[in-house]
Amino acid sequence: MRPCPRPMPTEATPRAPAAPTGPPRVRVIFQSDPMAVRAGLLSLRQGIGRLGIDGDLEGALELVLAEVLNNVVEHAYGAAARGLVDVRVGAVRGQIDCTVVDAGRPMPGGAMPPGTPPAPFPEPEGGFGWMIIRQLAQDLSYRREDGRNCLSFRLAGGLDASAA
Amino acid sequence: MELETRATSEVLIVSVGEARLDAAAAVRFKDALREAAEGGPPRVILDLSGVEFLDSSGLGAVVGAMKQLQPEQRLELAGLRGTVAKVFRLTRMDRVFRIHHTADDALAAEDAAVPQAHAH
Repeated sequence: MRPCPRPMPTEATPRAPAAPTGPPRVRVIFQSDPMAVRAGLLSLRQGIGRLGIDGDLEGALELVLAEVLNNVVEHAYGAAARGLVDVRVGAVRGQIDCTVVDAGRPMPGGAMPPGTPPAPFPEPEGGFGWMIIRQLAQDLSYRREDGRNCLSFRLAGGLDASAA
Repeated sequence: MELETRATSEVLIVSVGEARLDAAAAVRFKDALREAAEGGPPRVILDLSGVEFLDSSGLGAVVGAMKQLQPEQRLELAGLRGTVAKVFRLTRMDRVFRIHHTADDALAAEDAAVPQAHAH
């Protein structure tokens, strides 16, 4: 299991790719509110453009991250609280590795939700987030460490279940 | 929330002028669509060709908008691109809505009650 990156920074500052050596990485840190999530995803998209990832994978990353980040905003920190979210994306051999760290509440039961489809009637207006995440992301892992949530996953081309 | 509408006696086409239907936009979108469709014709076509990103919050808002239409109204979708189409497919909501390639296709289509088949 990959180590949970640390330390969590104390202020929201978009960072340039961190290390001059090793695989290319992009890191964005922002506040847990919906507008900041939107801005964070847009700046990630700009950074990711330089990692040489194909468009489908980039779209899948944006979608999975949006779902993960919405959950951080709505559930980990909750509407009444704000905190920082730290997103790191790396590209190795056309695959994407991504880690999301927040200091909000742990996931219920200390585990990721199963992502089972919501009941079809009445037509559901929610409960789709983990359904999407589980279908697109591989090697999902979640850990609670030192009061922080650490979620990581990998995205590889050609494994989109919906394309089968 | 920018929604552009054009209506005939039978069809209302609502074009979304917002690139992202995400958690930051979902509630405004749902409210704006309800206002746009209120008292309108029975077929409401939501043209999503201007939307480049939609997440589960945006999807929930589309479903919510469908449920708050008047009983005689029906929501159909058109112009789903890339990731937007993918979200409907992954969540199987592509089976709930009648989906047209474009808004013009929707206008040309007969008012059939059965959702169209989808190739996977």
